[in-house]
Amino acid sequence: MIRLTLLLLLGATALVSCSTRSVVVAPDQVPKLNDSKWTVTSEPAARPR
Amino acid sequence: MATRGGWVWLAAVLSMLSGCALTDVNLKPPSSGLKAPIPGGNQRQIVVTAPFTDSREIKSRCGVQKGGYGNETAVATCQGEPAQWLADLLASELRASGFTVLTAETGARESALKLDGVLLKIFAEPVVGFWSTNVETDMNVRLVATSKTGLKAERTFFVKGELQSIIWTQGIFNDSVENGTRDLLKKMVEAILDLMNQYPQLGFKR
Repeated sequence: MIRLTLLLLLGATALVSCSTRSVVVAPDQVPKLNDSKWTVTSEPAARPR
Repeated sequence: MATRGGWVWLAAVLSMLSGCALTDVNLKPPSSGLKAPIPGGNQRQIVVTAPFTDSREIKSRCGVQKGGYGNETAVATCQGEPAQWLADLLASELRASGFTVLTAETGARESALKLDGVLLKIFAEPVVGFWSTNVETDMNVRLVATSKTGLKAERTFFVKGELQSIIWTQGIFNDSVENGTRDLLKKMVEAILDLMNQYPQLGFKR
């Protein structure tokens, strides 16, 4: 009886446990990792008229 | 109390519930780009270098498969080289937007925009929840834009493709990758249009 109860408890615990992210980032981090605009270090020459 | 048959039945049920996903996942590139192309290319010239430079931290795989407890059970690998298919998809999306896309600088105008991409991350991973699981795909690309007329600019793009499901089979992984890829393509094409509108001399005939 004890063994059965323990096994059921183990199964239930495992089923309610949720996984965490190992490599992907949390969704709230995505905007921080995105550049909102281009970083321009040199501009192109203007079109000759 | 617990008979032999009872133990076998319990073991079978627990085994099924554990969601043992022991088969490796093969991530396919999307077969097409955006459903509705973003207009505005106006036949301006762009050179897209393919493949992108592959600078991923993890190159041996493109993701991970997990069991019902969130335990890692198998790997996800990319079909083909993601640095190649992302460059190809960007080139074809820019064509669909009306740009004239070249694969090499030979024959390009002086004002043509040249794009060099760096793939920093592509990784798919199920985040197992109590009721359902979210297969998340992180994609990170840096674009470096230059022109012979002197432009030098860069921008980093990061997107997360997501798909929620109660099962997470190969098809669900592929749909998550497709969602991420389309989001990435949309962001990159919009950014390229912004840059070329900011410098209208780029890509046109002189």
